[in-house]
Amino acid sequence: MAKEEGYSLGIDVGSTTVKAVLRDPNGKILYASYVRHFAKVRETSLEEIQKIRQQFGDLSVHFAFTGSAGLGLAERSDLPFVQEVQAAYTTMKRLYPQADAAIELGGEDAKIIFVAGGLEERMNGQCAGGTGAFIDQMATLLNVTLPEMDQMALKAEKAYPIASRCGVFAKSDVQSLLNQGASKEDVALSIFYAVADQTVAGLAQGREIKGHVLFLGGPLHFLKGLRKAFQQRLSLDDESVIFPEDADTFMAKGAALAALELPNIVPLSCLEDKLKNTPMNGAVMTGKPLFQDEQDYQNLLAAHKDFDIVRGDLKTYQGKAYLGIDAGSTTTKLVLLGEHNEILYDHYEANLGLPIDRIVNQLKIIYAEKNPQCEIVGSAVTGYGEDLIRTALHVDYGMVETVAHFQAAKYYEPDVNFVLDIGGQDIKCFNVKQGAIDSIMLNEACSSGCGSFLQTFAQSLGYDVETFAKMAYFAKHPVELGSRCTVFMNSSVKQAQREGASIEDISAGLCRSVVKNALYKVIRIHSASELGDKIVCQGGTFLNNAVLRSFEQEIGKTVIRPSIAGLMGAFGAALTAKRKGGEKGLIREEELQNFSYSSTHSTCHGCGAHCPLTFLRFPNGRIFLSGNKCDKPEGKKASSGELDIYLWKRERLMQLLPSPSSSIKVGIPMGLVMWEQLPFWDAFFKHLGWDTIVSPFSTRAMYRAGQKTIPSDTACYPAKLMHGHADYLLKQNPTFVFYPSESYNVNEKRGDNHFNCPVVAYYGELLKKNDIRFETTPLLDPFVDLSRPKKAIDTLEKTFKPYGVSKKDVRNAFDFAISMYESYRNDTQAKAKEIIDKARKEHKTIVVLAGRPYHVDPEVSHGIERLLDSLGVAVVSEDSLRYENAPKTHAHVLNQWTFHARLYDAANYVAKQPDMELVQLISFGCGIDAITSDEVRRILENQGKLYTGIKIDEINNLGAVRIRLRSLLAAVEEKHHES
Amino acid sequence: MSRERRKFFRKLEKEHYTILIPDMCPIQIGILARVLAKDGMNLVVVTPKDRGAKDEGLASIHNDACYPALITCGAFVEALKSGKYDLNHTCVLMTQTGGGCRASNYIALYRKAFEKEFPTVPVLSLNFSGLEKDFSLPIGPKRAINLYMAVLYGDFLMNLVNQSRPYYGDEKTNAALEDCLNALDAEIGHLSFLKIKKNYQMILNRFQELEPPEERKPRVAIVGEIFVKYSPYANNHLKDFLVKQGTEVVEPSLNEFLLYCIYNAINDNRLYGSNKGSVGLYCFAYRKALKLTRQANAMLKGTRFNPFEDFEEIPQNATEVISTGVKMGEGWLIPGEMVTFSKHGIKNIVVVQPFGCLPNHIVGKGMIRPVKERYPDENIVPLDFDASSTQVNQENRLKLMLANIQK
Repeated sequence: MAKEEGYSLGIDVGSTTVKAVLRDPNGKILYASYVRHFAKVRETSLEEIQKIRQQFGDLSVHFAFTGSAGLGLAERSDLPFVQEVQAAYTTMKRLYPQADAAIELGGEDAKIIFVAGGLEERMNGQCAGGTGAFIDQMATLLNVTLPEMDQMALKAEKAYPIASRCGVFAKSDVQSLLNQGASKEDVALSIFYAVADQTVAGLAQGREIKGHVLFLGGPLHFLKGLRKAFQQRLSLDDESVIFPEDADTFMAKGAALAALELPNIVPLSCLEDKLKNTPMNGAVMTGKPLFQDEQDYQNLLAAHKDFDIVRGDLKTYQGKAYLGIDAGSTTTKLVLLGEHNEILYDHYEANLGLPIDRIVNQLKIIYAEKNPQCEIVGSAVTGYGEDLIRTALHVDYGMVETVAHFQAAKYYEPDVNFVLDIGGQDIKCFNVKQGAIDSIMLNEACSSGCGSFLQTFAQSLGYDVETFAKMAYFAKHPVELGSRCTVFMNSSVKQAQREGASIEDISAGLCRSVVKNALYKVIRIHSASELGDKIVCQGGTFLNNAVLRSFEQEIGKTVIRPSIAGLMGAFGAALTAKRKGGEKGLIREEELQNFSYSSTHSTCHGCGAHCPLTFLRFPNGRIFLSGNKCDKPEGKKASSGELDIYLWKRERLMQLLPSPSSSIKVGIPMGLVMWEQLPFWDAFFKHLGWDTIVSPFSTRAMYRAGQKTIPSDTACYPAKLMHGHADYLLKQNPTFVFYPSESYNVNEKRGDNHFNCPVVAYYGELLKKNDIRFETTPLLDPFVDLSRPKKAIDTLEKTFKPYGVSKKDVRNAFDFAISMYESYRNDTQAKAKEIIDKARKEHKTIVVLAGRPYHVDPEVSHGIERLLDSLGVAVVSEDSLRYENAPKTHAHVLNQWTFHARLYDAANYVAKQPDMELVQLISFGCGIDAITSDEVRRILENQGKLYTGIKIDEINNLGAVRIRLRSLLAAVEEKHHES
Repeated sequence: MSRERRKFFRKLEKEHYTILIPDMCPIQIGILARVLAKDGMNLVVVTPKDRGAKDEGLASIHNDACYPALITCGAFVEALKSGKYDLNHTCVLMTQTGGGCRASNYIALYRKAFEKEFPTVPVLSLNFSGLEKDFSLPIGPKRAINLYMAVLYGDFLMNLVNQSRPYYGDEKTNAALEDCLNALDAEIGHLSFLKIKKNYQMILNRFQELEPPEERKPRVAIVGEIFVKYSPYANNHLKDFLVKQGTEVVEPSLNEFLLYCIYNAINDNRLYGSNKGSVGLYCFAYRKALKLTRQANAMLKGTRFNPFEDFEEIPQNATEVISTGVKMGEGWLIPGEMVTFSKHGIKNIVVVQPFGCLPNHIVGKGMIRPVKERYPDENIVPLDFDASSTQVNQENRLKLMLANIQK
């Protein structure tokens, strides 16, 4: 049979690489290659064919393209295409008939093929970050090559939990781990685990991956550490895993095999001609060029020349000097300032590992070079590493980044009314009103159109970031790429490439999308006038003239971009140190020479959170602790938490009624609506004489246990946690599991309707059908509206009749349950009043941490309330405020959800309290919060209050949250001083 | 009717306002616009051409808001900016179901987006739930009946067009469609517009003039969120792509969604005891509408055209996997349609939803697994749509689905 086949050639064009396989009529592989294409898909494919022709002559071959970028190429060149999962399946059937499943990781796609138990082929949705491109990004972040990263992972000792849902999330987890001093080896391994988790959760969707599993695609071929991670996560023994020798070119081989079934045979030279003549210009949207010509570019440079700064000479300067340090998440910045604000020394460098090592080195240089008559009298530090650096190096002052930036911006423009800072990882911006910071906006975890974003792209296209930026200047037709997160951007770039956009156009397009992201996603402006006229642009990313130009074009105004744009945080810190006079605390030269530190790791057992702790010990005997979410492990007197209603609510909710002895055990998942209604349902069932099993508060481990049954990975985290709760309950052998379907929540008459959101309302219906175990243990989810007792009692009676209850039983239980629910609500409101009264007596700021009841779950709030508590703030919740007979809040949106109406009421109430602030917790992926966050902001800002929104998800890194909360408190304090 | 409202609508009609509406079901909305035009209202369907509207949407609406809100708003903003319309005499019109999903908030989002730039442009609601009392299009019984007819004719036409385009190409199919639209247009405003049987027959005759195809192509059904399902701009011309790939597209009717809404109102009464005053009217409307729908289906009996699925069957089928109490967004309708199609031998289904669509977590993606468990041969692919999602990713996933058809 093999003899009758001809030569065949398959080319797999993926998002980052081209793979070509030539097969002879006997099935022997004559040629196999794997090359990066750096966006030049047509050229690279053509080169491969040319190479083959030179080596083997002008063969006539069966031919097919495959791969995500192959699709467009095939269409344009009018050549055959085979879908890549199909191609993989073809090869798998032929060469590995024993395989039961296959997992393939590509540059941007992940795929799974199940063979045993019914053929099924799946690809990742568009928002799954755990792919090759993601690993590339992480390697960039660690500043190592992929093979190095792989080696590191194999040496790792432990793995940390990293958010696996999205590359951008994982990135900020990784960043904070690095900044806390976790070893790069451990981080590398953690990244591989995250990829494995993401793939298993996102693709398997409840179907078990078992039997013999074939692993395919570049990353799994090259990275041994990744293989190990998959094998462990899937609990497969060595016999069950198949890593083909040719996993990297597997799809290309599949294309070659599939091509055999196509009737046409073409000479290689003919393929070349077709590719050479492939029209590549499609319908790409383009914008106007950044600069018309060289002169135009020079004009921009000239316009910003005024914002240069005076420099002094470190070697000759005599007198007092002030040191400012900005220990940022990805870069470390340092400025030494003289008496007349002249810069004596400055430094900007990417963090490779702990920022502290960089700073120590820099200090050594300064001490060595400075004039003996120059004395550093003051020092200040800001940024992510603030606490660490202060502890280690005895820096005089620590300050919030936003405040440091404001100080620096004021130096350039005393009347500045808007400051925008785009750094490596963060975008920070704020309005200034009457000399005080007004509203602060920071980018969310999932919109990092920042410096590192440009850097990653430059590298993935084979350029360093400076060259890449310069290419943008004179691009003729910058492509429009939209303003979404990195993952989306990748595929937009891919599409632009497919349409034939040049690298120059892509570079310009990316710069513009950074600007658009900042303007429309972070700042959310409707028109340029909202920014005012005196705008200071700073942050390292603005040193890129293409970004600066795009910004000015987009808002139609000129801005101030200081020449030290990248150093503004450090500059602001130095200015502050100078203003405050200095305490001469900074570590001395002698001490510095012998400076060393050691780090140890452990796990905190102070509470259920089990924070992974890292201890850094310094020669001065000081210890710096990181990883903790509260003050407890620091040995400080733990806060009693008595001004924290979240803590109280958790305890109160878990005060269940005594268990009656009963053979009927009702499993109640402690998620979503139960965080509001547990007191009702616990009372209801116990009054019926049944016992309840309530699942404990969520943990990451619980999440993972249920992860594989999640059908939609873009749902909100609280919803996805429900699968873990279901898993927990099913293991307790309940008689049935109960989660009510409530289209309508309790009617509090504070809105125009009293809906639940669709996810809260119907998650029971989803659970029931996506965990096979519910076929034996029933999940009961009757449709009830607690505010319409008559029908609700009818429905509940019908539901529970099989378990032997009468209508009267149900009615009595219902009435009793309502009273228990009401007493819970009253207790909550009374507790809030108590907290508020106490805080007022102690002159503490009160923050309404406003979200939904299920945000009280410690795994959802991630300890943000503890953080507030440690900042000396009293915390109440949106559902604990009592308005007596205050009229409904007039919302400019349709106010139709019970939980969300509480947000509007809380905002409206807080706006009228001088000592209260509101911080909104927003679930990532919650579409309704897109509406509520804008509306809550409007209500607050119209009444002169600051708005702070914090997006939460699986993500564990509180670094950015901390900055935001401290900025809020600093701004509030400043405002109080003003008035 | 409040005084303010009366004043506003008098102005609206007297001063010849242009009313912009989004482009959802091109055929149905087209007829609807002609019906309102006969009442002196100048309805303009906004059909964006390129990325521009998406970018306007991204700039004017919270980017986490849903995709349909974002692009319809973007399309409006783009149109208002184009200079084609007198901003003092233009308003926009959007439907509102009043359900528990955020779609009922589109109107508020538009208003926020227009607030600064187009303060003179009012946003009107088209709804039957009594929302936005001062700013909804007044609908009396006569207008309601005419609008409903427009939907029915539009559905009927859409169905025949879907079964013709793969076989006769654009030119012949569009000619037939145009002829029918013109014939209907002549009747609008007259009693003959309501003669449903006669008009169905007229449409059917015109399409039967086309030669029957020799071989039926594989059929692919599109179900999902209503806007993304029907708007070619929103779904990157999904229908055209599937037809080009050699398949016949099956779309549920718009009427199905309307019946679904009425069904839910009745169901709410059953489940919660609400809608006490109006449930009688809903039941009446439901029976009437069902009758008219079945007339269309009866008409196609014995022809080579497949009718729509019978509506009563859909909620029944839905209960195989989900309760009909699930009523937000498209609720039980999506799984109901999936099961119904599976039962009736339509082996390929594309489930479309806006990225992160709340109800679709449950009723779309959440129900694929249970449907596949019951109908293992079913070839189902979920597709997310978003202002930044790229065609190449979507087409690749569709290609995978199409590759599985052949097996």
